[in-house]
Amino acid sequence: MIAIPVKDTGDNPEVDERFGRCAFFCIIDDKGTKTFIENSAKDLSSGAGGQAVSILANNDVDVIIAPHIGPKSMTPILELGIKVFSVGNAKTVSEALEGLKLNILKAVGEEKPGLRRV
Amino acid sequence: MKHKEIVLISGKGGTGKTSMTASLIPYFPKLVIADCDVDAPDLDILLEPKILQKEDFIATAKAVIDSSKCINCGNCINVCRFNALSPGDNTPVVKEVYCEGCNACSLVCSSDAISIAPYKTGEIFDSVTEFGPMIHARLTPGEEVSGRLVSEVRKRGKKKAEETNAEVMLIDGPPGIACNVISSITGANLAIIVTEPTTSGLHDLIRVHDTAKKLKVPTAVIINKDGLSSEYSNKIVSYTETQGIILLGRIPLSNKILDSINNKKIPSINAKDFFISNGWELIINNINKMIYSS
Amino acid sequence: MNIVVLSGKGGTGKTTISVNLANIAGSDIALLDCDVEEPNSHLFCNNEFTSYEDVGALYPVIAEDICIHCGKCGSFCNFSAILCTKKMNIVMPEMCHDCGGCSLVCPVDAISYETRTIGHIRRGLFNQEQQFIDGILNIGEFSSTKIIEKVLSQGLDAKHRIIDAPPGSACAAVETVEGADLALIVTEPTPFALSDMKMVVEMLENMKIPAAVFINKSGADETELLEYCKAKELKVVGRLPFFKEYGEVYAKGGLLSSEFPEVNKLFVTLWRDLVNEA
Repeated sequence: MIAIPVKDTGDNPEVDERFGRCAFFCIIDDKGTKTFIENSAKDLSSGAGGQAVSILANNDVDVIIAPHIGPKSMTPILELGIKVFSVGNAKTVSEALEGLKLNILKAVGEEKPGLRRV
Repeated sequence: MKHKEIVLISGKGGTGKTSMTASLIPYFPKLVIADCDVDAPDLDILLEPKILQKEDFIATAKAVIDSSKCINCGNCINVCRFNALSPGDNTPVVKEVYCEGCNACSLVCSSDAISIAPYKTGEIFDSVTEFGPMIHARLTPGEEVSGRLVSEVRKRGKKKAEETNAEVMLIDGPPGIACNVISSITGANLAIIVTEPTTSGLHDLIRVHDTAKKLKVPTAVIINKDGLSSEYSNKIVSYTETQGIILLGRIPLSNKILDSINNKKIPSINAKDFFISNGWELIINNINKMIYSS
Repeated sequence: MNIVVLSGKGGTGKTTISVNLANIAGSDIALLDCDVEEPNSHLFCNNEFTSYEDVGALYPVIAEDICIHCGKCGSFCNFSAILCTKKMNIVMPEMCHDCGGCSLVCPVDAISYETRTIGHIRRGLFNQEQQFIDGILNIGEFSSTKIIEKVLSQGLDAKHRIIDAPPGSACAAVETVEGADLALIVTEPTPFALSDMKMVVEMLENMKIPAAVFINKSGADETELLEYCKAKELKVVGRLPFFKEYGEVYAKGGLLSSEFPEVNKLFVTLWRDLVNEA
């Protein structure tokens, strides 16, 4: 399952710049079917990113495509083994998925600044 | 094209971070200005921004005790690890400055009298200056969430930069190396460390540079108050060489900057000749090179 | 007596004032540097530190063999330090505020706490006899309050403690000022310093801590500053002008009160006044 932060629901919604505080997540299954989940973490005063990750994990997401993911969200993402791709120039869900298919999206992971783990 | 973010930091306070930030402003025509030194914001003194919109910033929540329900059992006082609750006549007293809003007190309350309510921790201003839009903020003195207020200022600055098609967002950062600095520089295109040739200046330069390095933010250095100690200027220069940090330039110790600040003027405008003769334009060129090469 | 030296704006000379006061205040004092993000007092002290102590912060550890994955700890935590997912529990130690709530909500007692090091404190002597303690926050850590707390627990047997505070008026400054008998606000006659000082004064008023003002780098027009001090009934207890020679001695980590007799006299008088004031 692939997740993309989006500003709205619909056929081909615009990608949301924010990850932890985006309005919705668009979830795309293996058959390409889109479903939307509201991001209930977006109004948290702190740690929205981490909570958003746990929401996605509980929806069996294993790939995230997003413009920018903060270091506090990267820690649990790496822990859960979720793959992350930078959205690049894609502005909409369709463009992002196309980019993934063509293998032109940049994978983000180890080179990201992460919080120190103990 | 996406705007570039330049943030000025220093580790040590008082090295001239705000003076240098202000002096860069006139050289970036399509600009958004963000003052992230939220517990000592000073850029507004020089820029005299016109405030378009002022908004309360509510980032924390704090314990509130309903006196009609409280039986003064004292459970909350015992559970609180932050000494935010102390005994009172009818109900325990909440010291808001210490409360972190963890909610442990309401968990142990025997009469369901405690709730955690949103709390104003600062104000954010959306303003305009003659040089472009400016986002700034003021933390309520004594509050702990300066990192989050900083993030909010940056976020709004970014949005403003997109709306106005700005090329650069210039950020005046806070001193130190903790949460507010981390929030100010994470993901920036360039962090300019303003240092001074003193033992403290060098010591703090190293710590703040380590912080930026850890966050993988490209850095460059400006030595301000050059001439105070040639010994320490040399030490800073050799530190930048061994670390491979670009030394953008050296601004001599001079009353010209202090006089500008005291007259509430931007130093590089008020003392233009002084800045030009000390290579200010070259510094600007090198900054541009750095942000557009990354 | 606890005298805390603070400023709002960085670089006004908190450390200069603190170390020079310590230099002339006699043997029965302790100098505490609570600017644990950028501690600088030690740069003015020629002695080596003699002991070190780690400062830790607690974080929860979930015993997976006991955990029933009810998710209560994760939904309780207001700081998102625990994320409960179907697959596993993830603990983010640096997000934890150490409130103890998660172990209270856990129905099966699966949560215990472990310590991670976030910095350390160092002890030594400032001149010959005066205690000197500072604290250092590890690079990349978010919060300095636990280290400040540890520094402040030191030197309690000294008659007087001189406390060098961090700049600003946020949580670290609050933590340092708590319990002080007198706050000495170091400012300079510039609009920046005045603006930042106002925020510190507001903080001190909220905390009901008596304060006095020291004007460093004096020489410029003080009208606005003095008007503000008068309105707030803040006494100006001293002034130190800026001379390049002073700056040069400071740059190399020298003590102005040892190098210049006039500065020595100034600090002796200031110390006497502060002790009387508090």
